[in-house]
Amino acid sequence: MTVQSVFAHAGLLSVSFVPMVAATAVVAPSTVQAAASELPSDVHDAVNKGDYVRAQQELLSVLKNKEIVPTSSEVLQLSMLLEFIRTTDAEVMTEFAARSERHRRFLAEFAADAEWQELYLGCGLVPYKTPVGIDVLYRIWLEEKGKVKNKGLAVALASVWGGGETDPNPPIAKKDPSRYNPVWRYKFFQKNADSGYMHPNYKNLRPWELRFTVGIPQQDWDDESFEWAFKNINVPWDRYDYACWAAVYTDPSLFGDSVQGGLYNFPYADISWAEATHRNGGVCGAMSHLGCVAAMAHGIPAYTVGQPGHCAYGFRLSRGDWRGGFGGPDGGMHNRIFGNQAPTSYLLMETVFKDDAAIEKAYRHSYCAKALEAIGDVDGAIAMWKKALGYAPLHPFFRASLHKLMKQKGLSSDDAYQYLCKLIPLYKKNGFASVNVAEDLKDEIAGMTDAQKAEVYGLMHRMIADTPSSWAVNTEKIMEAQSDSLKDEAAREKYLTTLFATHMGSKDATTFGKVLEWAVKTYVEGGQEEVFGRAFSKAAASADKKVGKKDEEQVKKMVEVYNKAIIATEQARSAPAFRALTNAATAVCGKCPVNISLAKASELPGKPAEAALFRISTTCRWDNPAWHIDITSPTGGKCHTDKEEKPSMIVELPERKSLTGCIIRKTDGNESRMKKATVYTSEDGATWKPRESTDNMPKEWVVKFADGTPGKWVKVEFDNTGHPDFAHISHFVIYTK
Amino acid sequence: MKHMIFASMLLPGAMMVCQAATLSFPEVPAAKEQAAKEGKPCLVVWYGSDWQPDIAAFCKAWESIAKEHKDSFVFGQFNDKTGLKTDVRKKVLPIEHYNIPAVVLLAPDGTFMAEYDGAQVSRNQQKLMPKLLKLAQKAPEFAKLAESARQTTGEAAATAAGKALELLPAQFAVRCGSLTSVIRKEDPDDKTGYKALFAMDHMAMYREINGLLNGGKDGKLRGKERKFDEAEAYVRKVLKGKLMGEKKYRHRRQQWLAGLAYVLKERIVSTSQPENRDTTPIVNTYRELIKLDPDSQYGKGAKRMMHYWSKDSVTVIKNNFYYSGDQTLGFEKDWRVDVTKSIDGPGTYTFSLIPVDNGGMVTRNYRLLVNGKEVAKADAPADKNTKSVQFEVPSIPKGAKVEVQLTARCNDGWFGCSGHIEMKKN
Repeated sequence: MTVQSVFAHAGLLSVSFVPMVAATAVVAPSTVQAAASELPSDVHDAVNKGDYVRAQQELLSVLKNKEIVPTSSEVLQLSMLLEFIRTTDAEVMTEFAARSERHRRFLAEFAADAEWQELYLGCGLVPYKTPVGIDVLYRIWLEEKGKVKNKGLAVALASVWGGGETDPNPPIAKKDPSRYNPVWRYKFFQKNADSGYMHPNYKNLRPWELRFTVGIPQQDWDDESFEWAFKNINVPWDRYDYACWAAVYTDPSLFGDSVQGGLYNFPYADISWAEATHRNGGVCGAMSHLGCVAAMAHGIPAYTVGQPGHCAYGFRLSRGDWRGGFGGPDGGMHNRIFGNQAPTSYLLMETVFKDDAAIEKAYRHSYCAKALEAIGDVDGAIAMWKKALGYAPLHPFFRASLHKLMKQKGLSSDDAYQYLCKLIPLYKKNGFASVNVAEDLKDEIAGMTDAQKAEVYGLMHRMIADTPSSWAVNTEKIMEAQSDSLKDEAAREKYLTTLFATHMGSKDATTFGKVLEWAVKTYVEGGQEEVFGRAFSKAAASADKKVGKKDEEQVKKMVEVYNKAIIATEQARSAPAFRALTNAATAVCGKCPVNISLAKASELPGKPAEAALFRISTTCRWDNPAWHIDITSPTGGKCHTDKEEKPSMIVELPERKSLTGCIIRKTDGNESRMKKATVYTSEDGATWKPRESTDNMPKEWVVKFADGTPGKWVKVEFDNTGHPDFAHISHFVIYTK
Repeated sequence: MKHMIFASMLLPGAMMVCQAATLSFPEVPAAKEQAAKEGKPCLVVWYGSDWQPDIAAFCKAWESIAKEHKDSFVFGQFNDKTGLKTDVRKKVLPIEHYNIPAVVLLAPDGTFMAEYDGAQVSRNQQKLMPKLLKLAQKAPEFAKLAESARQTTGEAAATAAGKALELLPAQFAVRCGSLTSVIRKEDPDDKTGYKALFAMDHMAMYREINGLLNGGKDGKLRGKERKFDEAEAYVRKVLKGKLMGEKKYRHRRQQWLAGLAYVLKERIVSTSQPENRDTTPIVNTYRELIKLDPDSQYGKGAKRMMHYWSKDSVTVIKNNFYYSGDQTLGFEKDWRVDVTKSIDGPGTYTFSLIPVDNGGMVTRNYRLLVNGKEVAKADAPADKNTKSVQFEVPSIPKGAKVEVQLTARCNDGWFGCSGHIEMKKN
């Protein structure tokens, strides 16, 4: 049964001007079996008079005497109207209705049009305590002479123009109303829907998706840009990531002005932004907007994003398939429903709205939950919110409403713990959203024991490890807050171990890299290397054999992460972690290809020692941390410092030994570097005794130690004072008795 | 295949089945090979069989054209289907274009000669074919010169490349990368004059100009210390080039006139205060530019630039909204706002600017005009910076145009001054 059929016999439309409910482009599946009944006479009277303050009161009176369940069309109708009034605000609506007879009539019709209201309230963001949304609908209604053909498109425009409770007051007042006109856009999409130039999926888009085709007035380009892009940019559907290049990337402009100045856009400021950019060129901001508007103009959902020092965009050909243009789709989404952080926001949005039938049921239960709240039945509302969330478990607004009531009922920390342990596992593939949703319960989390917190955080990280991540997600902030909330040092170390263990084997290496970076910054640089080392060792012990067959990109990412991790373990001086990670890394990137025998190996007495750890003072893009350990073997490895005045390498042996000497060999190529060098030994890793120096280190430098030199660490340091330079060696082999 | 092929295709992402038509022409590499063999130009039809509307009619029309013009061209096709990656396309057809369908004309040796898109390609091919046939006649000579450019070095190579490009309409000549690169490489000092004519887009032109202004490639001169005379002399020399004066190259001349206006502007802005500036040379340069073709890309932009730098021009504000794109930066210009619709009989009216972004905007000297004649002054002194004034509006004849004129200056260079305008009877 469709929404139209549910309400078709409602007999509600007794106002003087009754539009036909034409076939709407967007039709939601319905589960309501009963026919809707008429609005109660007092409610009807108040609505017809444009008195929404009274209408709200009358609705509450009626609902108090009803069983509030979404399976009753009558109750659903009343609950939706109550929610519509609550969201828009009764006084705002009354004021709007008083503007003119036509305003009153439109609003009365809309209030009685359950189908249209349902689309409006289910659009993701519902204009909150503002007349902007209903004004957009009113203007479209006027344009269509009371017979709005595409109600889904109309509500999408109302939603982007009006914003929502979490995104209030979009600054549309900053825009020239003659260039940013929702009625114009409505007509544009209606006119072109059947042209064949719209993406085949366009007609299937629900209002929440249409939000991303009509553009947000405060950020996306003007009306004429849609028209221009529609006519002048036509590429295969999946090539809209490339459409931004329809303009020339240029600074200065055609007239020589810099993009930083005020005159860059001046010569073409009287034409659409899209055409002006095509004529005059632009940099990342203009080009991203051009690609975005080109996609939107062809019925493809798209958004622009802000990135540090850059602008980009994302577009989507089918549900869940967001793709990047000009370096997108991650960053700060300008058009959004659930927060501005991509990918967290769009992943959550796609999950919540994935199933049309389920989300419709969820929303219908939510109207009833709100009605129950409004009549003061908190227990009933909680039960109804739970039902709503049964259909859309991850809907953040519904979840926040439930949390508010749970707290109102005196949620204890123990209860919150039990609740979160059940809730968080639902956030598979949306792990970062689980952290956001737990924010509602931060006071209760603060009251948990360290063990409880650790379990909750561990669950969150299990979800995060299974979630696509991005540079744009602030993982460090999450870890910082979670770690700081733990009272006991042992708990923090355990938390760190959990982080390593959880993210080490994750498919998306980005989060693991961020965990390592945070851990190194917090522990290694904070003077707690031992904590880092212990935690890493424990985690690494179980992770080094988990890497299976991966595609090329995945391997590259994994190697990058392992490289970072290895450097981190070197800095942490964590020999077991270094070993474990090196083994794991070589399983991914392969064994070291270097195989060079030392020509002067016979000059030293004793035998090559097996090293526990190799440390390099700095790293750079030519470095191969996975092959650092091989430097200490007679066949050689690879390492490369950054430019430094005193780059150095240290070999650590498993235990103190009697050293006979060492051989250091430069890599092939750029041998003119690394001239002045000194070799040191140490028994404690802190006190260094120079053993030999040279002003002109040969390709293969043999350093003989005095008989019986004790040591566990051997260091070579190059002296580039005044002219920082790289250092790169293939061998640093220690010989022992 | 001679006839169109109809096939059911699954659109990735769209998950819908549709019928698609394709052309029977050979793919680009085979078509180019055949063209070289037959010494004919190659006409590549660039289209998308699985996403382009009216694809069947499109293919039918081009099949028919190919039949009719088989003696003049070797027809080839590039079917830019969904799922084909950009780098794959670039290997076969190394040309950038964003409005498909399009046609690309290649010389018998494969060198780019021209491209067209829009309605003339998708629907009105009869308008397009005469242009292509005219170019096709020049193709053998073009290919011969292009070959000579590749086989020789120095000025000889640049000259051959330039001569070849002279055979093309200017808008295509500048896009012929394989020959413009020969000119840049073989004649870096532009002894032939072809570099400025064909091988320097606006970015290259401003790089050259700014290099001269700053005292050389790594020059450090800034502000009024810059070498304006050298830069101006360079641009004027380019503009004196023989071909640059021809009507055919008027759009190229427009680019260089914009370059000249830039040098003049930089000198005037760097060496004088706004109140003492003589902007006549800049305005005259833009006037000359516009005269060449007022509707071209440069012509349209120059109209607004001329307005900007003219001392006596007035900015007309429409729709009761003023925005940054209309503002002068750092100096005053008069605005005129049509308030006719707000007049409801004689009386006291308040005229207000309601800034969205003020950007340090200074607005003063408000006057009321009826049919262009000043009839009243606002209650505020002319030199007072204010956003709201009152007028005593007299009785207005029916049908008369009522405007408010004021003097404004924006002090923010980045979209700094915009807002709403209101005229209300008290």
